[in-house]
Amino acid sequence: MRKGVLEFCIMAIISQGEIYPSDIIAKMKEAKLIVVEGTLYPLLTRLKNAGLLAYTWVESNAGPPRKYYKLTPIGEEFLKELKVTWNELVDAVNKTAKQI
Amino acid sequence: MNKTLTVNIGGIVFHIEEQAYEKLRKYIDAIKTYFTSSDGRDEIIQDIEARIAEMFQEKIKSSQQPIVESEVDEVINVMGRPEQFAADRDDRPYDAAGQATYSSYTRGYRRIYRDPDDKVIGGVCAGLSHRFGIDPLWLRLAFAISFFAFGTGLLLYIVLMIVLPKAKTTAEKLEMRGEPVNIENIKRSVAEEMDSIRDRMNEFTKGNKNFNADTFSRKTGSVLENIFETTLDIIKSILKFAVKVIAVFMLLFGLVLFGCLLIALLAILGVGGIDVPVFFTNFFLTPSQQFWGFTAMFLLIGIPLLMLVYQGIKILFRIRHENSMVRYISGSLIAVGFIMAIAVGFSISKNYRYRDVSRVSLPVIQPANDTLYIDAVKNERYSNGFGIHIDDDDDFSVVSGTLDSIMRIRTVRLDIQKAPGDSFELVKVQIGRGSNREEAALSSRNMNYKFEQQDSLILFDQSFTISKDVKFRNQKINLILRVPVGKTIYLDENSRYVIYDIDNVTNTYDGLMTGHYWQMTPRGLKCTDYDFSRDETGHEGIGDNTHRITINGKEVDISSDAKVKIDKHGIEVTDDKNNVHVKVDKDGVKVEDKGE
Repeated sequence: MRKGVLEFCIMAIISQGEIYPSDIIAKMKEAKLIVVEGTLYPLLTRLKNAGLLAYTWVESNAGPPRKYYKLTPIGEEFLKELKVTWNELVDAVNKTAKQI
Repeated sequence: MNKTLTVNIGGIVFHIEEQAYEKLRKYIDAIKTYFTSSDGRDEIIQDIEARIAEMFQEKIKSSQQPIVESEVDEVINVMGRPEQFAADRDDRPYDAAGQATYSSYTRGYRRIYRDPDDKVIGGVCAGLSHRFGIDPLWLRLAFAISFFAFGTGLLLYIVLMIVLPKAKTTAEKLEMRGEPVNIENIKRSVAEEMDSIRDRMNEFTKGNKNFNADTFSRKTGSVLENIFETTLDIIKSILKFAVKVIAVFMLLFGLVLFGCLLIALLAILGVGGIDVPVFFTNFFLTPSQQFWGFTAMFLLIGIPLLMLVYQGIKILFRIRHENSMVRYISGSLIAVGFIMAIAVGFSISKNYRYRDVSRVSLPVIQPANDTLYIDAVKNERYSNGFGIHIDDDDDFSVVSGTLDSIMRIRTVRLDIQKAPGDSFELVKVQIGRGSNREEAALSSRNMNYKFEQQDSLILFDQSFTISKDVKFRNQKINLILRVPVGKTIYLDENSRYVIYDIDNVTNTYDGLMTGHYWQMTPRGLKCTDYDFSRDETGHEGIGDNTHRITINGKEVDISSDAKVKIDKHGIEVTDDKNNVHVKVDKDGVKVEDKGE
C-alpha cells in the first residue's frame, strides 16, 4: 500500500476536474508530498499507460500546448477502490496506534 | 561576449547562451540515462521539455532575449535532479483492470536513510532496519555489543552516520521503507545496467537501418550525428556497468582488508583474548611509541580502506549526496597518520642514540695443569620460540614460555688476549644503548648472562636474556679471556659460537681454531698440535722451500731439497742449503744446525 500513496494522491487531485501538471505539482508541494516537479511526469505517464488517466491537448496562449489530465472510467473505479483500501489502512493504523 | 545558439524546446524556438545550453543538455541527458525505455522515457522527456519551455517563456520578456545559465539553474532546481525523482521509482506494473500488481519484483531503488522518527542516537539502526527488514532492536543490540568489542561498532556507527542522509521529506521516508537491499537486489542493480546497454544497442542498430533506408531523405550529417550519439550512449552504459562491478569489488575488498587490519592490530595489542604468543613490539618500543605507531598504521591503512568501502556503498546504492566533510576529515586523518608515522620513526631512531658500557671482572679458577678448556652452550636457534634473524652475526629470538616471553640475544663475543700476569683472567663488557644516558645505562646493566666453570672447563653461554622491563637496544656482550704466556687453552668444537676474531700467530680463522690446543707465546697464540703455518703458506714453508720442524724443543728449518735417508741404522737428513744435518740412530738424536 505504502508505495501507492503518491499515485493515490495524484488521482485524488485529478478527480476534482481536468487539471494541468503544474497545478497538480502546486497542490502536491503544498501537502509536502513531493519536492521537485520532475517526480510527477513519470508517475503521470505510468498511470496513463495503465489506462487510469487520459489527457487532452489544450492550446496555451503563452507557451506550448498543455496536456490536461482527467480520470478514465477505469481510473475512477480504481480510485474508489483505493479510497476504501486507504480508509481501511488508516483505521487499522489508528486502532493499532491507540494501543500504544 | 557569449555565443548564442538557437534551440527548439518542446516545439518553441529559444535563443540560449552556449554555457547555458551545455548545462541544459547535460541535465536532459542525465534524465534520459535515468529512465529506461520501458518507463516510457520518450514521453516523460517530452513532458519535461514542454514544461521547461513553459518556464523559460515565463522568464524571458522578448523572444530575442537569450536564456542565460542562471535561468537554466533555476529551472533545474524546480524540476529536480533525476536522483530526486527517486520517490516515484516504484515502477509497479498495473494490470488491465487498473489494479496494481503487488508482485515481489519491483525495479525501484530503495535508499538507506537515517530514520529521524524512530531514533535512539542518529537513527542509523532504524534506517538500516527498513533496508534489511530486520527489527531495529537487533541492530541496536549488535551495535551496543560491538561498542564494547574493541569499539569497532562505534567507528562503523560514526561512518554510517556520516554516509547516510537523514530522511527529511515524506517522499524520502516512503523511499526509506521500500524494498530491502540484499544480494538479489544488488545483482538486479547490475542487471539493470545490462538492460540499458541492450536498449542502447537496439537503438543503435535501428539507427543504422534507418540510415540504409532513408539515405536520400535524411541529411547525412544528422544521421552520422545520431550514430555518434548512440555510440556514445552505449559506451556510457558499458562504463556505468563496469563501475558497478568495480564498486562491488571495492566494497568487498575494503571490508575484508579492513577486518584483517583490525584483527591484526587487536591481536598485537592483545585485546579480546586473541592470544598471539608474543607481544613482539613490546621488546623494541616504548609503550607510547607502540601506541602512536599503531595509531599511525591504523590511520594510514585503515582510513583509505574505509574510504574504499564508503565509495563502494555510494556507487552501489546510488547515494549521491556529496559530503565534503568526509573528504576533509579522511584527508586530514591520513595526513595526521603520516606525520605520526614520521614522528614515531624519528623517536625510534633516537632509541639507539646513547651508548653505555659496563665492565666486570669475573673470577676464574686457575686450572691445575695450566690448560683451560673452553666450550659453549649452543642454543637451539628457534626452538620453541619465534625468532627474527637480523644477519649472520647478530641475531636474536624471542622465546615464549607458558608464563612469559623472554628475549634472547645472541651477540656474545669471546676474544682471547695475552694476560699481563701469570694467571687466567676473564673480563665481561656489556654494551647497551638508549635514547638518553639513563636508559643506555639501564640497558647495559640489565643483562642476564650465564657462564660456569667446572675444574678446568669454562662453559660459556652463547646468548643472554634481558629482563622484561628492558627493551631491545642492540645490546652486546664482549668477553675477554686473558691467557698468561706459556699456558694453554683448548677450544672445543662448540666454542665457535662465541669466539670472535681471535688473534694468533698463524692468522688462522676462528672456525679452524676449534678442536685444537693453543699456547700463549710472547708473539701471541700458537697451536701446539697442528702446524697452521703449513696451511697458511702451503708447501712453501718459511722463506722459500723451507719447513720448520721442532726437534727436542729446538726449531730447525729444513729445505725441501734436503736429502732424507732412512735405513737400518736410522734416519739421516742432510740439508746442504741450510747447512743442517739431523741424524737419528741408536746413539740418539744429533742435530747440527750451522745456519743459525
